[in-house]
Amino acid sequence: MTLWGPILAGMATLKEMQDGTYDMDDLADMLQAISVKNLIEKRTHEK
Amino acid sequence: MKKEKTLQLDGLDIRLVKFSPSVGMPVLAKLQNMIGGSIIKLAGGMSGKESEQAELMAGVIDDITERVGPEQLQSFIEEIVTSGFVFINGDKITHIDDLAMFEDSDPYYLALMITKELLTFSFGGFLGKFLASRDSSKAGAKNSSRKAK
Repeated sequence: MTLWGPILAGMATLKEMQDGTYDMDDLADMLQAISVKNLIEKRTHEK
Repeated sequence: MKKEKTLQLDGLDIRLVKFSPSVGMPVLAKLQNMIGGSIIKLAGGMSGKESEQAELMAGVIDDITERVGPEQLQSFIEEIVTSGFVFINGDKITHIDDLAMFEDSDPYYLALMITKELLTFSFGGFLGKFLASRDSSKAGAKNSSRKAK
């Protein structure tokens, strides 16, 4: 899931995950962004 | 964040490139299995200084040595060193026997040190951030449930 999360969210392509465009730190940043986005969406739904 | 790091080991110029996600994630899963479950403990230490991270990773490798057999450990080390992210004196290491070329170094010691350095370099930032995002989503969930009350 962690590798596919940013790909499914349209942040990166599978090729970019393989060819050195992104490294593990970049992946962590993307996962953080997804986590924040999900949190915001959850709070919006709760209102 | 830098994608590459150079260091000297036994008088050799070692260049390490941070794992791409497609290589790093399976390696991290293997590491998680070898240390016997949760990576939270490892992640907790990875938010510290680089020297603390290296010390923690050395401890993790010691734990692995005790937990798994020498063959499994050797195979893991071989996988890391020949992953295409390690260069010695400018040459990419693609086979574990390449380490035997450096006559002044013990190949096993060299492979072990490279493994420790590359794992620390590749996963240090990732695990630190992983823990931070885990904590923030927990805090977010807590705040939401408090609000709901």
